[in-house]
Amino acid sequence: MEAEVNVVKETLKDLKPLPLSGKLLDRLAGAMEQVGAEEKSEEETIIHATLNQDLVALEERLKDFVPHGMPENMIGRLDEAMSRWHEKVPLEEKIVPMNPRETFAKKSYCPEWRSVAAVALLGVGAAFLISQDQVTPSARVLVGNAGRTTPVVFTPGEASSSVVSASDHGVIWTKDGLPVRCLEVEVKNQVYFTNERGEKLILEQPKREVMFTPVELD
Amino acid sequence: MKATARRTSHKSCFRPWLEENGSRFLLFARQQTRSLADAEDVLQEALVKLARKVEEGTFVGGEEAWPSFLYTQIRREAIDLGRKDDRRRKREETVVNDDRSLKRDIEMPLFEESGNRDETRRILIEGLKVLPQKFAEVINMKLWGEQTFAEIGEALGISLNTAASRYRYGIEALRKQLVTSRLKGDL
Repeated sequence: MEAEVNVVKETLKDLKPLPLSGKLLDRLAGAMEQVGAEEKSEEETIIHATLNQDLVALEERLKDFVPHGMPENMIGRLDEAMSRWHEKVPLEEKIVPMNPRETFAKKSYCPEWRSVAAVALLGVGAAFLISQDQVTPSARVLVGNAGRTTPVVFTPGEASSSVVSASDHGVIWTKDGLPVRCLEVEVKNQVYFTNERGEKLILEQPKREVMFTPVELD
Repeated sequence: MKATARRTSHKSCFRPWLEENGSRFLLFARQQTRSLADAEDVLQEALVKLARKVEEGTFVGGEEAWPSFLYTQIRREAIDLGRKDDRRRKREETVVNDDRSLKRDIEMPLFEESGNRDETRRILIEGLKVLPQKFAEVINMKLWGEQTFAEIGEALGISLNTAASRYRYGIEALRKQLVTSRLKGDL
C-alpha cells in the first residue's frame, strides 16, 4: 500500500508544468508594464480606456486650436492692475459690521470692571463734595444733612447699562466726500447703592452716542 | 500727464508670464462669463489676487501652481459676478443687451484663425459655445490649460473621475454634433 503511494508521489513529482506560450508571455509582460504606466498617470488611463479612436482623433483636433491672443492694450491693463495690487483692498478687509444689533449689543455689554471703576469714582467724588473731612477709603457715597453729624453711608451694589433707543439715519456724506453710516444710540447707565438700613439709591446717567462708520458703495 | 504716461509704459515682472499665458485664462474667463468685458473684469480680479499673494509671500507653491489658483479664482469671481448681475437684473426688471460688449465679442473670436477655413473647425468651435458649461470648462482646462484631471477636479470641487467623465461626455457631445452636421450635409 505504502509502496503504491510512493510510486504515485514520484510520478507526480516528475510532472512538469507546460511552459507559457510566447503570446501569453507578451500579454502578461505588457500587463505588468502597464501597471507602472497607470501609476504614473491614472487619469490618462481613464480616458484612453473610454475614448474610442474617433474621439481620440477629435481630441487631437481640438488640441490644435489655439486660444485667441489677448490684445496688447488688454495685456497692458491687466499687467498694470497686477503691479498695483496693493491699491486694491481685499474684500475681507473691506467688510464693516453693519448689523446694528451686534454693534449695540457690544455697547451694552460694558465690562464689569468699567462699571465698578465708574461707581468707585462717583462715590469718591460725591464723598469729597459732601464732606471734605470724611474721605472714606472705600467707594462709598456719604449723604448728610446740614447740621446733623451722622452721615448716611451708601455702598455701591449693582451697575447696569442698557440701550434705550437706537436709530439708523442711513448713509450720509462727509465734507470730504466719504460715505458713512450714521447710527444714534441712547444708553442709560444705572448704579445701585444701598445703605446699612437697606435703603436704596439709584444714580442714572443717560448717554447719547452718534457713531459714523465708513461704508463701501458700489 | 507725465505720470500717467510713465505708469502706462511701466511693465511689471508679471508681464512676460501674462503675455505667454494670458490668452488661455482669458478663454476660460470668456467661457465663464457673458461678455468679453465681464471676462476681462473677472480675469483682472483673479490676477490681482494672485499678484497680492505672490508679492506678500503667502502664495503656496511656485509659478507652476499659478494656473490652478487662477482657474479656481476666475470661476469664483465669475460666480460672484453672475450673482451681482442677477440681482441687478431683478432690480431693473429689464434685460438690456450691451451692444458694445456684444460688438467686442464678435470682433474677438475665441481661437486664432487657422490657415485652412474648414467647416469641421467652425462646427467644433460653435459646438464648444453651446456645450453645457460643466463639460466645456473641463475640456477647456484640459486641452488649452494643460491641467491634469486631478488639478481640474480640485479647481472645480469635483472628483478626478467626475472631471474625466465630464471631459469624455463633452468630447462625445462634440462628436455627435459633427455626425449630425454630416447627416445634414453641412460637411
